[in-house]
Amino acid sequence: MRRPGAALLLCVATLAGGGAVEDRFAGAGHAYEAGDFAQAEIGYRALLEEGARAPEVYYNLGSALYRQGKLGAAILSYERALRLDPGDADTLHNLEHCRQQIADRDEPPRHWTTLAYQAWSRRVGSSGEAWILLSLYLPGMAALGVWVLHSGERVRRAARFAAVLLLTLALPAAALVGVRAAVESGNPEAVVLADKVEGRSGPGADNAVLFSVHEGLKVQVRNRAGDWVQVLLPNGLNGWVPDSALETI
Amino acid sequence: MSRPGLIAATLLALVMPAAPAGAAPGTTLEASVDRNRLGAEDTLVLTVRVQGEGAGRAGAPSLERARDFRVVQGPSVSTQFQWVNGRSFSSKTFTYVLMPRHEGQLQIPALELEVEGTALASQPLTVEVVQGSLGTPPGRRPGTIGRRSPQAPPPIEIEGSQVRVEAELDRERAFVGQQITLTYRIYTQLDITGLELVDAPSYPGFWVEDLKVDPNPVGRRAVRSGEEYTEFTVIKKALFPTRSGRLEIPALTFSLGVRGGGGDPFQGLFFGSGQTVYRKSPPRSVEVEAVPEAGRPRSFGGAVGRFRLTVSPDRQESRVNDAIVLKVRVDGEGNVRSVAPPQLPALADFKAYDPKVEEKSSAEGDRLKGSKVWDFVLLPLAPGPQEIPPLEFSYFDPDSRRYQTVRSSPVRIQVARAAADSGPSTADLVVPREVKPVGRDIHHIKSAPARLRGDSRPLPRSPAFAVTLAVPALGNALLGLWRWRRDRLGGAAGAQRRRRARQRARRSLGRAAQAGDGTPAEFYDAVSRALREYVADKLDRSAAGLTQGEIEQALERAGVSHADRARVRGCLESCDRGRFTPESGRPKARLDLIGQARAAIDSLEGRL
Repeated sequence: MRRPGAALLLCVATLAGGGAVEDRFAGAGHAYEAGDFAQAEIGYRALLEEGARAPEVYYNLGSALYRQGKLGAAILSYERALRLDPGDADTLHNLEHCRQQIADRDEPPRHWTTLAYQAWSRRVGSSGEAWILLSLYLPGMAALGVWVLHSGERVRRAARFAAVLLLTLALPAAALVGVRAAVESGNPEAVVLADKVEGRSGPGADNAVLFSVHEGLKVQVRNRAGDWVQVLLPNGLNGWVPDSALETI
Repeated sequence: MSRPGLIAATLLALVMPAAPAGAAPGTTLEASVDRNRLGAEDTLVLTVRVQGEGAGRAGAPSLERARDFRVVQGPSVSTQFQWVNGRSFSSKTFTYVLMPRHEGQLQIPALELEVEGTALASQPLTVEVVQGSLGTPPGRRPGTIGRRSPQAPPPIEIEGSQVRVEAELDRERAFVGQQITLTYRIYTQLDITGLELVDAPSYPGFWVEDLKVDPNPVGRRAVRSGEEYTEFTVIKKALFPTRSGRLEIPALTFSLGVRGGGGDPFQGLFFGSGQTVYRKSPPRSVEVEAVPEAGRPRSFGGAVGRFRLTVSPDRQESRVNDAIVLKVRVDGEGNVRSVAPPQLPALADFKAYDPKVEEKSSAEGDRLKGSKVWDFVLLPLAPGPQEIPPLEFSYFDPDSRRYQTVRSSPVRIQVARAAADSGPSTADLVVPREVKPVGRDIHHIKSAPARLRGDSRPLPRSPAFAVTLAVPALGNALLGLWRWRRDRLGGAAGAQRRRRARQRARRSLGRAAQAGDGTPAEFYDAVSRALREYVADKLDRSAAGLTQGEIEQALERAGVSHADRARVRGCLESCDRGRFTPESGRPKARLDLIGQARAAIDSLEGRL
């Protein structure tokens, strides 16, 4: 049987009194379970500010925000959790649940290559790709070293074969890591946090309104000019919105 | 013409009506009004007169274009024939009673009429319409056409304020869905003999329900603007706003039959003193506010008022496939017609069918009350004790400005297995079904992870990843460089050794020839060593341990011919023999061997 009062006291004491990171993580969890989602949000945000940037903290923060009706902030937090742990089923489920409640349709990709890449990303993620690359690259380089150093013909031949094979296999993994890094650094994604924001033809309120988007929609950031950012919507529209209306993932 | 014929023709012309003929060019169409200034509640008389030949066959003109007026009476038609100098002239008059739709400078556009193929048009007319009533023009009964007959009693002079209609609202601010009671009352200083609505009332933005009023209302005394009136409540309506914002209630036009209160009663009895006046209720407006977003329960379906929820089954025991009826009743004060049914919870062990709906509403005082009942037919699918969870119904109480949620009690149904006599196909029949989700929500939060602190960046963004990639590549590059330098230096020494192999071998053979007094073993050993060292130099390897078999293989790999290989082999075998047989150590034999060795070296030079 739950005792919300006692749990709340415990979590408030934990949050107020500092203590180990794990204790404060548990304290925020108790606040959440007691229904004090605002207090849970404060606890999780404090942990993030201290550098505890674990996917579980982002995930729990997203849930605390969702319970308070802050849909856009919840989606942002889940997206951040997913960046750290792309295959987490709970995060994927909650994110999908939130997306079904946003006012704008988040166009799902239709081309099979995009779908395949997304499925691969969810299962493997950028860290997984990096590990695959290392598991091929390091033995390949070791074999190359043997080929360089050894004078025995048979050993050298075997080392050369192993080096060519492993380094050839490492090339696609390196391409995936490189492309992902280029995409993420070149076109960062952001989530709309304002209830409604109008996309304009240029950076400034005097420009014509092209579209309006609502809280929770994920967009790509293309350009910046002062307090305005140019965003690309999932359906291909692009326009300028105030920087304060969204937050980069 | 004879005299009798002339008389006959004259009589015929007097007796016969005008023969049908086309409208002469002199045919005219005129329109006139009895007043050019009137109140919005007054009427005017429009007279349209067609004169000339063929006027008797003219049809009534259309007033569709006179959109600023409504026709409250007419047209009445009168026709006149005249004989002038043996020719017939006719005129036809159409008379309408019009009422303005609004105030301002209103225009009756030119009326058009076609008479016997000729298009006629009247001149447009302009009248000024002011607020209220200016009374009746002299000589005309209000709302009647034409002037009074000599036998009719004199018309009552009715002032605009003697009869008035008011539209009263019980509130001017309301929430969407909240009842507003609209009451139309007549205040009169005259006797009211009849009441009609000129046009059907329209209330855009409202759901309208009629409230009952006494069909024979009893007047009561009321004072308005310091004057005494008799008040009659004639219409009551319950309005429920369907959207927020400022909603307008348009003016409603009444046609009232009045009789002078201070006139001679006998005159009214015998001649009838009834007159018709038109009165408009003043337009009203209501400020409508949307129900608040904050705190809106999920089960809120738009109900505004005060309601109760009752849920009851028609029985508490049933069998599999034997349907029960779950009666869900919402009753209370408010517009029950717009109440959405409470959401039936997902029932895994029942199949629910669309409900039958029954609704009743009635007014209690001025408040609309009612009930709405949904009969859900539920088919039990699995035996055992089954429970229908509590149903939830939320409404907005406009008085407390808060949402209220009412919940029913859970309903327990004991479901037995299907009756054995209900047929072999249904006895004990429990159809396996796919488990379906009954709700959707986010997953619960996570417990403490193994590691909260530290660098949680993805591996590709970690500096260690870049270092891990760079170090092996750099190491291999350094190793390659070292190997290249080693090969480069080692290769030069080998080439030099190969170049000098023949020279060294000749020098060794020369030293062996000069040492002719040495022991045979020393001579043959020196020759054999010279040959072996030559091959070793050529192959850039150590002469130590270089066996004859290895020399043979190396020469074969180098493509040396069989004869040359046999020559080398012969020399080496001669050396081996000479070391162990003393007679073969004679000077001539030694010189021959030196010669053979030199020849063998010469033959190999250029091939190794």
